[in-house]
Amino acid sequence: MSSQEKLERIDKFLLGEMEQEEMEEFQREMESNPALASEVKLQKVVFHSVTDKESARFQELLGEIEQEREKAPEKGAAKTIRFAFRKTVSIAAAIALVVAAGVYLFKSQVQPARPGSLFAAYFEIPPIEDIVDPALISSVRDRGEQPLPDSESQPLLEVAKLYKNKEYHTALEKLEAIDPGSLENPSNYYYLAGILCLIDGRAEEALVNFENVASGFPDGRAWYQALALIKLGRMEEAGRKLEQLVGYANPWREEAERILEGLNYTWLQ
Amino acid sequence: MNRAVWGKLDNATYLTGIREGDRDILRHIYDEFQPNIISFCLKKGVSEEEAQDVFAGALLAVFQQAKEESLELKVPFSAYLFAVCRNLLMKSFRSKKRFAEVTEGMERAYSDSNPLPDEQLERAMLGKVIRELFGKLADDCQRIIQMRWDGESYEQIKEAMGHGSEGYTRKRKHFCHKHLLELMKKDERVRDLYL
Repeated sequence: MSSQEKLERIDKFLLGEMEQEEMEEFQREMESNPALASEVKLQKVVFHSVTDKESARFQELLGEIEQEREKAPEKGAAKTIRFAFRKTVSIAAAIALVVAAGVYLFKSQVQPARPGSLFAAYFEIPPIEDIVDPALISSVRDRGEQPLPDSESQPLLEVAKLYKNKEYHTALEKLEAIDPGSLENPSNYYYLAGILCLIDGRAEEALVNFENVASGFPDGRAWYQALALIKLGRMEEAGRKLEQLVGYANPWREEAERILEGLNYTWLQ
Repeated sequence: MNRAVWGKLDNATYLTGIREGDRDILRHIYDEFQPNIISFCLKKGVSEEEAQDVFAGALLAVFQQAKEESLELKVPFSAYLFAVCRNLLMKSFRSKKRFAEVTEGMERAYSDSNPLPDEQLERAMLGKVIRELFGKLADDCQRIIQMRWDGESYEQIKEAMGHGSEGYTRKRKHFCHKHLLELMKKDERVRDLYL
């Protein structure tokens, strides 16, 4: 039997065009001829793939969306965002929405492929007031440029000032010159050092510093540890840290949920 | 469905959107989930193209599942889609015998959770590849095969195509069919999944 005859016969079988007797004979042949059975199996897969018009349309649609995204990824994201605007919202809500849309757009555009990008999308430099003991900061405010009587706090205060002026690298250098053992509460030191290392791109060192935070900053510590782990590509460990944050109210709960849902779902299984 | 606010959509909205081929929902799924899934795949050592294939293959598998039966998810859609992608990736690794890339965590997750049976994943992925290859055939080839497999006789196809004889139509159909099979044999993805 020629190749053409064989394929035409398989077509007839798959299309149900064979007479009863012919079909029974064909089936017997398949039972005794594994090569033919295997050929029919393959042709069946091809036949169903080509004739599955719904899947073909769906696949075509996915192809169109992928092409749209390749040509104009920003436009695609922006269009999605546009749906988010509601006429009924108040001006304040509208402003909030625009800000949220901006953040979303930013994340949609830069979050993607690499852990470093994900880190960049979520890491925001916290204000110094969230890092250093507020009592110390208020002392600075109250006293202006006057040195504090507590000489132990003075070096930390200088670091805080540099941080406030966005001189992060210098702040880190100053901080590293301080012996944390000389401080009454070194946790402030380590937390600040962790944040500054993150800003400076030194995620490994940031983790070491966060590990040394013995008291205070429970939420912030877990959040920044998770971000440091993301930056290092240690996603499973990052997930465990983020899981700590989704169970109770804290400033990073929603973001932690968002990353967990979007990034690695193994823990949800 | 209220599309005024996208935010987080519920499972039913995602599944209905996929089942109905809702372009807006699909765009949203790409925007929301593809980057992280691609990132995950890249980390496992596959190329960006393969990663995109895995994502589209997973969506096709979900589409076919959602179309065939009522699909009720016990986890967020995002988690479900990720699990389908991960299993598809695992399947690809197993086919290629790239066990080195299969981490212990993935192996465990693969055996613990099975959102879609292997057969269904394979069918979706293989179907996707075969349709891509079918699209590479000459237009008349696609038309002849499609007509024949839609149940039209060679006589009807001969008339529709304006061929001089039924014998020529049969020969042309055979040539086109064989060409498709050759393209499949040469395609690494088909070899991994089937041959």
